[in-house]
Amino acid sequence: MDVLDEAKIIGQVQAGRTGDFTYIVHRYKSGLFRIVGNLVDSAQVEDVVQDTFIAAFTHICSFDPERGSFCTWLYRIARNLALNARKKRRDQPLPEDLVIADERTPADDVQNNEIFRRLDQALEELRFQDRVVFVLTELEGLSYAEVARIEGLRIGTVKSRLARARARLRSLLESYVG
Amino acid sequence: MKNEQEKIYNEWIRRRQFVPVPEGISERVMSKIAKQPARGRFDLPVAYRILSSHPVQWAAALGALSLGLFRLSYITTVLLSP
Repeated sequence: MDVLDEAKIIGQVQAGRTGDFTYIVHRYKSGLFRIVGNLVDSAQVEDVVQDTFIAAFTHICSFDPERGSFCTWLYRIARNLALNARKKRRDQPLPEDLVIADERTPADDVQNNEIFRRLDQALEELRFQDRVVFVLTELEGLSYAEVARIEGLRIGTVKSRLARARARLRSLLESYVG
Repeated sequence: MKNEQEKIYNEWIRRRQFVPVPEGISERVMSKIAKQPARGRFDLPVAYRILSSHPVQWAAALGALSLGLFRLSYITTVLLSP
């Protein structure tokens, strides 16, 4: 689905063709799971992703393509809902399941698993605003301009937040791998 | 050592990028969406966008101009006539 197709589909959904929203769900579900899965704990991920799609659908008439891409508009909704979900869970202890299970790792790679666990924890401990920027740029591969639009920031601020997040993770890595 | 750090960092990034998408998520989302009230094209933000679009602004300006001219000609021909 290219940009033109997407604009057409959004127009059809805005005109009342609900069923066409399924193309939007198919296109963005992986990206949303990747972003939300790195912002909230795993028990909340599916709910936040579903709520994101529903919020996007119910407010789709307010989406204006002249003010930015659908992708950044959708990711901004996801970011806000993820923040709300985190606030709800703030009182609860750090979830053990934050470490994403990876069946591809050899069972004997215990040392690396420990480092990964520490990095996961460091990511969890980042300020939410730094974490969002890190997730959107490093994990989702969005440009600084796109992240700036999602976060409502200047590009310079995005860069400094990313640098702060990277520095925190790199220093942790250096303390483990001399 | 830098290479080793880089390797571990990249591997960790790759792991974090791997977030599985649950089976049947699209169907669950669409069934919830089907229960949402129908959305018309003309809610407030859309109406505002249409009203603030260039053709509508031009039409309003032309309307105001012709109304002004009509008023002026009325004043000069009817009210100011001896």
